[in-house]
Amino acid sequence: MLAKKFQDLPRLIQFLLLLIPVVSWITEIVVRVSALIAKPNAKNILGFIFGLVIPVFGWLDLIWVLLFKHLVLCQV
Amino acid sequence: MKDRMPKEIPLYVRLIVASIFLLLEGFLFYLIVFLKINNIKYYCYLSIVLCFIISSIFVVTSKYNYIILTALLFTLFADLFFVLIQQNNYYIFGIILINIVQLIYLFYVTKQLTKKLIFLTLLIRIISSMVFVFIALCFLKPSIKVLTILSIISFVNLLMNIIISGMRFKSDALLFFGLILLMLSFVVVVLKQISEINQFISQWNFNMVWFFYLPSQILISLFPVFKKFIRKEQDNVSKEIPRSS
Repeated sequence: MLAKKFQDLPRLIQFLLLLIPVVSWITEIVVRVSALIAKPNAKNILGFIFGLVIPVFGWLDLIWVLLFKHLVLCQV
Repeated sequence: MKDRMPKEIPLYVRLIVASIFLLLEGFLFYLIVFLKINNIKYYCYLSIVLCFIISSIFVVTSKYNYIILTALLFTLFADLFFVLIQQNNYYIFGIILINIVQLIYLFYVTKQLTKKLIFLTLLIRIISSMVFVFIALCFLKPSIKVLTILSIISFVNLLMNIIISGMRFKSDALLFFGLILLMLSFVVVVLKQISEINQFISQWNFNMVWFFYLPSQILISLFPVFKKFIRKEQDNVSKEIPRSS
């Protein structure tokens, strides 16, 4: 599962993927879709909607990833 | 497989160079995508040249980086036809070079697979390319060109490369997302050929092809910069596991 593999990535790579604007948006969508397919619960659905419609949501995740190594509202 | 002649470049050097590179590319991205300025093609090409330069700086850190650097070199040549020359007669050379780039990525992503799996992926590529070309021949018969056939083959190769690099996500994450963005730029180029969609896209006040294409090239060129670091950290983790257990 991609969302789980994303959590296992080194922080530096997670940081890079969430830093670059367009890349961050695509990373958000890919990881969240993967999490949603694996566990279609309210938390993941909400996270997917936020990640999809708010492009700068990736930068909030950037800080979250540095602190906790996983995305906001993403359960795997 | 161990590299024969790896050279250690400290992480802080990598970070400083990558930050300068990202700042420059960020500025160029803003110019290319959001501003309508004269001689934009030179800025576009400059951004691709920068990607090639950053990869060539860190190429010595792993022998596999040479494969990625070769792919970026061919991308540089391909963009010569697509970005600088921009004449219909020369697009064929560009698309041939893009096909070569995809074959180089194929060589990279399959380097650790077994012979059986490599054969299987090649077979899937060939069969799916033939199916898509057949569909294109059926639907676009009067206007079918060699260019379209080569584009379809390139797209199928790209799709397969994404799938295989996704399977090796832990070591190829940057390449995986780079190829996804490349595919999106490819899709936008194809959609722009359909006049209704082109009208819709041109209403948006930004260059949608480069919106995806430039980040894809940035990620692929950063891949050699941090690849060594990823492997090193994973090696450390695997060394620690038996000790703790």
